[in-house]
Amino acid sequence: MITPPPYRPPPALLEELGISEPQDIHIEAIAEYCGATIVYERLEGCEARIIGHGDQAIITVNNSSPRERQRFSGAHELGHWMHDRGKVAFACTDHAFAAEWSHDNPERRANRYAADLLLPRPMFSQYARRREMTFATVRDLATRFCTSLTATTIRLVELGSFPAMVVCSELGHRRWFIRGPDIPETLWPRNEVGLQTIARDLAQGAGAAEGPVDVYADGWIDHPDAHRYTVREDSVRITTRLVLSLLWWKDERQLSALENDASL
Amino acid sequence: MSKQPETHEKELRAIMYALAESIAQASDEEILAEVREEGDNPEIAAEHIRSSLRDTAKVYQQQKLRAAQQQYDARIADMRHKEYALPTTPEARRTLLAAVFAQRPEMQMALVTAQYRDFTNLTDADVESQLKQLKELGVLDNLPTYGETKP
Repeated sequence: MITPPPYRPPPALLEELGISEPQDIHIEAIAEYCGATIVYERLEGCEARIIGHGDQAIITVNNSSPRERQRFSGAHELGHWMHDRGKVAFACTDHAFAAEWSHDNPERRANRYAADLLLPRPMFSQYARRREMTFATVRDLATRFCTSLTATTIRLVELGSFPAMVVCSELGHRRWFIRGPDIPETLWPRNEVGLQTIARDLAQGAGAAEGPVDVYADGWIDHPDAHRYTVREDSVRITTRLVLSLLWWKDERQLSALENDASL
Repeated sequence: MSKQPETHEKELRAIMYALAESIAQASDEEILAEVREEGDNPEIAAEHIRSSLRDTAKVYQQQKLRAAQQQYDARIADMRHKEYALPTTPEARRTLLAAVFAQRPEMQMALVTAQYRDFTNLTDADVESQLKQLKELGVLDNLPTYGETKP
């Protein structure tokens, strides 16, 4: 019987288990090593739950979800376990996985843990290098790492080679966003997504978008001169209410110019 | 008269050391020429050795991961076939789960409120599943007996 280790951040856990390739990230074995057994059952009303007692836990994951979602759910619950071991019980909904990325709460911490575990920085950076900031790239990487679209998109924005931002909106209202490291903190996405955007079309019931398009930046960026610039938008619907948008400053000079305008 | 095994081993070891020493002292050109004389491609041979070393290192580094996978497989098989001594009727099982939640209100808040909003909305299958897991974890062991239970 393996003695579960105390809290381990994902990079330390992966190193301890000798994992250096995406195909070796076996979430069931990793969770078991940490004292949490993952079982698959039919669940109603939530995607996953965890019941913990002492140094052992059982994570239940919805058996009818896609494999990528199941892996993320398992890793998310493991995140709860690693942060709150010994007194833990959580039932997590689909909404928590998609919407809880910005505010500091247990769901966000669990989401971050799952992302760091399933999409480790050194491995992901290697595969994301010089790739376009679009959902075509995200889908390819999501297949390689067997991860969900949302988690993989966030990772691409954080670790990709080009300046980009991901915005999650609910019926046209911004829920959360994450800037890439090259996006100045002076640039904020609008609270209400502009009318001339793909995300707004999707929120109003349009069918699936046909890949990335250039839109005026004022549809997305809260800045008086934003209408003079463009940004490449790629948007997809991820739930009935939520739309995920990738904003890519393909022409980086426009980002510099907008930043300079912002500093005036 | 046959030699002792220990003597054989010493001789073999001496030959291996001599071979290793001879390779260490040879120039790159001499080694490459020797490999080609044997009909081998040095690049392919080198890649084969690199790959073998990588595989061996990986097997060593992933010992804990493999042990965890084996433990997981065994635990799942065990849980699948285990008979849990739980009340036989849905009503009695629901009463037992309510008793657990009365002792562990934080658990009720997390498992019921987030998922169903109300205890009465829990399905019978979910009640049974949660009780089995609580039993597996030992949470039920210290509870007073509620309702009907299997012998």
